[in-house]
Amino acid sequence: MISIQGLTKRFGAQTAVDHLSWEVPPGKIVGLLGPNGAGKTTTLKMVTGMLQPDAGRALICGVDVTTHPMEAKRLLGFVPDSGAVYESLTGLEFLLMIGALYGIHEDEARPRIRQFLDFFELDEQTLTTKLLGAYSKGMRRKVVITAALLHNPKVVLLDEPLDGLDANAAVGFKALLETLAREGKTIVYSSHVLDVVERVCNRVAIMAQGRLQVEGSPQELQHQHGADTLEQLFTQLTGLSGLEARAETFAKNMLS
Amino acid sequence: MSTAAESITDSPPRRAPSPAKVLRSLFWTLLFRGRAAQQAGAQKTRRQMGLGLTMLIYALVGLMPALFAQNADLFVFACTLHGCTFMFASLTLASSAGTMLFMKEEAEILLHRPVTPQQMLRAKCTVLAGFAFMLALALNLAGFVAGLGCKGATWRFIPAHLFSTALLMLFSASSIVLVYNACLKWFGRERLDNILTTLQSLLTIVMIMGGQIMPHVMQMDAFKHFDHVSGWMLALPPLWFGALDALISGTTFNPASLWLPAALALLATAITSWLALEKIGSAYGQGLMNLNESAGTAKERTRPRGVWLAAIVKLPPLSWWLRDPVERESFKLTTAYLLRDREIKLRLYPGIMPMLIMPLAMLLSGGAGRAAEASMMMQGFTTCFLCLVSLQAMMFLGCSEHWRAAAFFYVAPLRHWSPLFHGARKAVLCWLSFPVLILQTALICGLQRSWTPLALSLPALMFLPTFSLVTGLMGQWLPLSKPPEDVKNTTFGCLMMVASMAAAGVIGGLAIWMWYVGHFGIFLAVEALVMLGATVLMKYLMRDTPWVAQPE
Repeated sequence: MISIQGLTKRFGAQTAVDHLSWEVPPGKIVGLLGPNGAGKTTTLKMVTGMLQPDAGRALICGVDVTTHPMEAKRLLGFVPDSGAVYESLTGLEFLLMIGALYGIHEDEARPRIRQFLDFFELDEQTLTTKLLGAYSKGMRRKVVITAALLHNPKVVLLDEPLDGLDANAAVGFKALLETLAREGKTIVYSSHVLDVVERVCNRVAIMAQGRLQVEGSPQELQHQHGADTLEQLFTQLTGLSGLEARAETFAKNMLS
Repeated sequence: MSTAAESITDSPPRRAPSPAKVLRSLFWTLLFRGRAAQQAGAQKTRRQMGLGLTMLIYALVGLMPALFAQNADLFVFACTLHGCTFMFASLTLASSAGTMLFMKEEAEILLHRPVTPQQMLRAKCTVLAGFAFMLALALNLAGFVAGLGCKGATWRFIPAHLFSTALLMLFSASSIVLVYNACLKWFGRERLDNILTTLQSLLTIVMIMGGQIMPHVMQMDAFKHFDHVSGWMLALPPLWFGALDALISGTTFNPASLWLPAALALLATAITSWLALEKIGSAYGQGLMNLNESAGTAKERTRPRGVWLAAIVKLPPLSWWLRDPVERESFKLTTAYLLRDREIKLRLYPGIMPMLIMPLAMLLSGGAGRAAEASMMMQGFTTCFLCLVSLQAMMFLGCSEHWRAAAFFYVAPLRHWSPLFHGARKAVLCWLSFPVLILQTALICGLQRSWTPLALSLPALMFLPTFSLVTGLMGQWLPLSKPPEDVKNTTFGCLMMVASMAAAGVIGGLAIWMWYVGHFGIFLAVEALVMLGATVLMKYLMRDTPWVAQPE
């Protein structure tokens, strides 16, 4: 599970995450939503140990990320939204390297990689001969997801994981997430695509201006706030009301 | 059978290599493979050839100091060898270090894995020191043999020099990592980019100028008849490591005066390594994150960007020169990338620096002793030689990390690609070629205390704009439209360089000849007509090159 206690991060005068406290229970897929600049990615980066918080702490299965970063990092898998990889390695070289960093020997890593390969329908020849720089966006994303799950982490953090995946791969990945959650893994799913979050996640947390606004199951939250859909709830809470009217005015002005 | 099966089953699971070893192997691969997105197998042969060729060049360069071994004391010779190694191997190291230390997206790949930033930095430093040591070995190959013939030398020179060279490379790698890491810690991302560009450009200048100065230094009496290590000499790192060689392997020099510099070699290496890897090393992770953050530690900019650029393109003479709106926007785009983009700046400025410095170094190395006629001849060539700047710049500007954004050019309703090309070409002329021509001419005028170089720069002034069209003859050219790997395809580029140098030589040579025979005015008039004709012809040929749809 993830326990976040008073987490704060400032960039100069700007407070990206403001005393955030949040508990993510095991066996759940929690959607992390928020408008641009809400502090979602900064939160995830602090939880993964990539960024040092200015205040507060994050615990992964009880392990403090700041004081015991190595132990905490071994427990989690992260898919960053950038999908960054070393472009001059082949897919296989990259995955074996990542596996080795988690202490997985090549002999053990290869069959695991093959399982992901079959699941994502990745071509083995491409994985062994082509450098990652020549992969399509979707293929690269599949390699990044494999690299995050290869060591069978207890906590999985996903930042826009479906970006670039085709419809079939996306459906398969969503099913995989549900299976992982059933096995007791904690999954945080950060995305801007509300309908995907609504379909995949058991719970939803909405952030705005570095703070957690609400947290609960989508149905529960909609009922509490009198919203018909998650989209309506989101716009209510993030202060962007009357978007349809604004769009209509804009289109009229633009066309005139 | 069952025993064998049991022994297989019971054998403990094989342990993965340590993270440090994995990281060293990773950075070693990345250093040699570059970022080319091609077939892994095909890339291997070219990479090995490239490394072999570099080693061969270094071995050949190493012959130069080896020639001075005879009759020299071993200490003096060792200092000379270390001086050469320090300059050439360390400078190559400096140019590779920036790319390795500051990979923009590396934080997103590695920092959430169970590796510490210090482990990453140590692995990088080891790989850089190892790479530099390989180059240093090639450079010192002839020196190892020649050193045995020095005064006071024994067989111990070979292991001693091997040890001191390894130490020198560790010192160089640590120093470079320390400087770059300190920049990363103390400066914001934007300032860091500028500092790195300046640092790499300065290193290129030092290397070229050093190459010109080195033979003169080695002929200096102070070096030939060295009898004690004075105060100022203690500030020279090659001397510290030379003292180590001399103390271990023997010298005619008084060993008592060598203990201090030798101790400095050991101490400086230890302190620099500690500072680079331990003291400042812990901030490396934060620095890597800053590289990738939109909000960094630097002060946020409040003034809008590009206001001055938008204003000056509307004013004469640029408004007359950039009448086509597409050309004007391409000019602004290219200017913005010339000034702001980290990747373009890091590749372009150190890349064109040799073209700016080489002619100047050639011109100045003869100095006062050269006849005025020869100096003039050289100037005619050097100013025309600046055409290489535009050629090189256009080759670099055709490629960018942001090449996917060129999709906008393909979807926009443009009749032809040439306005985009002309805009970029004019930006290169305006911000690079012409300012350098003016600077170079002013410098020569000052040095020669004469206005003649001003007149002699006129042929180049007419030649440069026409020559800048040549890139457009090679086919469709769009700014920042190809992946950066494409710029590494240099065979065609080298051929173009040779052809350009030949053209520069012809124009420059003709100009000087006409100056001598007193028909310079006529030459200028004819050149103007020829260049005008060539411009019209090239633009016509370019218009015939079709607008090709976006490649896969």
